[in-house]
Amino acid sequence: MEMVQVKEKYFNNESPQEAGLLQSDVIIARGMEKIMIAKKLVSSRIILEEGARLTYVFVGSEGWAENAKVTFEFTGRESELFFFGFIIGKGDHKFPFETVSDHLVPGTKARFFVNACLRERSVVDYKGTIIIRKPAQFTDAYLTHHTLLLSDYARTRTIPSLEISANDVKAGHAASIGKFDEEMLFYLKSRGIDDKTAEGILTGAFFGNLIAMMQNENARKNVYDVLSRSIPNLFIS
Amino acid sequence: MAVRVKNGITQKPGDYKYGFHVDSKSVFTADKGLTRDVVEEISRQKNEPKWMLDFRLKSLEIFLAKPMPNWGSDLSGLNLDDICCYIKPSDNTKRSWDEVPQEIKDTFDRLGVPEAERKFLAGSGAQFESEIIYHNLQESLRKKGVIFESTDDALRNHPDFFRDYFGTVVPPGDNKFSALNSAVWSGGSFIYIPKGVHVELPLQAYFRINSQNMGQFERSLIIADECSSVHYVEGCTAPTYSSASLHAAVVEVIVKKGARVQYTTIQNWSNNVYNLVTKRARAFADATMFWLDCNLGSRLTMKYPSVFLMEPGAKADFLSVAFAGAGQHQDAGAKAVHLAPDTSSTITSRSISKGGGRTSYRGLVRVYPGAKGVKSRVTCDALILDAHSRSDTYPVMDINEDEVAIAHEATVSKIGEEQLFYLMSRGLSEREAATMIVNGFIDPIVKNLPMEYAIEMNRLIEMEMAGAVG
Repeated sequence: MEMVQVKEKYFNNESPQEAGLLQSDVIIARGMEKIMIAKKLVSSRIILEEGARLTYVFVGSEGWAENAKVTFEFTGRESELFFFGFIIGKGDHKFPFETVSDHLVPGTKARFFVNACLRERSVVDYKGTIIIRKPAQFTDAYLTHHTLLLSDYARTRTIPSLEISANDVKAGHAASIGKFDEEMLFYLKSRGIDDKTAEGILTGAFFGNLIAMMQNENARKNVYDVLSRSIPNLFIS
Repeated sequence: MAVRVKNGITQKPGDYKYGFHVDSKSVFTADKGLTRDVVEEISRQKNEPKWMLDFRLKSLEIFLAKPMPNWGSDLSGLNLDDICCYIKPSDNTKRSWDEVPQEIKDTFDRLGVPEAERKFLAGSGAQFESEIIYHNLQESLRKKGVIFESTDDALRNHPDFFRDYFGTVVPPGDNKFSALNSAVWSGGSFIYIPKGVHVELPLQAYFRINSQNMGQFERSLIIADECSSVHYVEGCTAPTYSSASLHAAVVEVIVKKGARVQYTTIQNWSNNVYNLVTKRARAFADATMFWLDCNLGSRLTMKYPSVFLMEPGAKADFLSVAFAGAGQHQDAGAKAVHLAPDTSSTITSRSISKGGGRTSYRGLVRVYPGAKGVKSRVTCDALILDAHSRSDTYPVMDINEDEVAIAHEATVSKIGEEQLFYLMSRGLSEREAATMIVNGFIDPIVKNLPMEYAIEMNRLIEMEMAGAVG
């Protein structure tokens, strides 16, 4: 797992075992701001304390076999999570993963943006769950999962779930699956741009939206490097 | 089971308008629980052909072998051994309302069924306990070859035709409750619309459970032949008892080339009914299947109307509205299975939970390889009216083809403060304003109901909203 491990603080100074924490548990301590960049996902639990801000960036271009479940627990007020997922599927790559956004206290915020571009026989199996518990009023949580399916054999399965037990909240999700917009392709081609370049531009736009939302320069560069290595003709303005 | 003989109608106090029950004398009541003897007895009572008895017994085996579903909601309050699977209220199906036994007539009179038929229906049927006790269809439609009968009558009157279609859309092995229904089914509507015939007015069936610990297992089969159209409406109510009743129906719809079927359900069971229903349609070339599903009543509803889109050009529309009050769980949804190219589906779901109620949307959009040009759009919106209620969304999208356009969107929110403020600044009370917003929220669904039902639906929402705010 190529991610920054932060273990500044455990609950009540208990030892990790007593607190029921796994080796892969990560705590974003009170008031901390962290950026984590992962190229593969492994099952883990991440706890956000009061006022913690986490940007979790996942750029996957290789895939893995076992289902990976990443749980984010919001245990402190005003904690915030931005999860960016970029998936470039090729060959027989499989991306089976699950994210759980578990809101336990009032006033927390989560954003999940997962974009996948799938070619050849690559497969994404994504379950994105948002759980808002009864005390967690004023939660603001949203999840999107967009997929570009670019081959007859690529497959995607997506289950964006909501379990909401508080009433004064904002929660939602959106998902879409499709090919390139024919009209956009046509527009570019009518301007003399060949197929390959046009696809590079549209793929760039598909991922570019998410990249633009990331505030950290370093994270942006990291993502851009992986994307441009995996996608020929990628053009991000 | 002993039948209490006492005249008149008993109504328990409370909000639920249809909570009354009548004391009726049944002609035959099966033993409680589900055994081979019970199934054989039902078949004997109905004088069925051998193949149907075999079908029932095979289904019973499947039912006993299958475990209870462990997903969805809590089914532990449901004791199947305590449920009576078959109560025959009268000897046979009546064509004329006057021949219906008095106490049953009183029930349906109170529910407004015969009145509705005179006013705006092409035909109607009424099921009391296990049997359809009344069925009628406009003479002009009968002459055109339209068949609208109870499923039992259809088995007697058109045996070969019946056998060709029965159990082809929902096989007994589909799930535990479809197996249960297949073993002890009774009543339900059989509809056949011949080629090119359009039934302009809706056909209606009204389902009523009257006894305590009763299981109603109606089985409906609708066949719309090429280029025909029909709109079928079903309504359901039951008296309020403290112990559980079960309604486990199976509905099969076959929409042939170019035909259109609208199936509207206004489910308003009392809060002790477990409503576990399997509804499925097959839509062929250029056909349209439209499920309109309103779930207001029952303790627990688990119902996911589905459409298998079999041939190019087939279309599936789902509109569903669910309202869960105290102690209720509406676990409803829709399934669109795209098996052919150029098929499309739209799913619109609106749910409201209040007073500790729970609504869940559980849906599926599946596209098989080779189904190019599929379009599907799913929107589910939920309103939570107070801090004790819960709303879930579990949509599954399983896409195995690249030339598709699939979109899904869901939101959960409370009534907007700004909307409330605006309406209240115009002089409405908070309750009126909230009711208006809720009615507006479900408007896209309600406006697809026949007018009389739309009015009733708005009234029901108003009633449910009483005491919701403030």
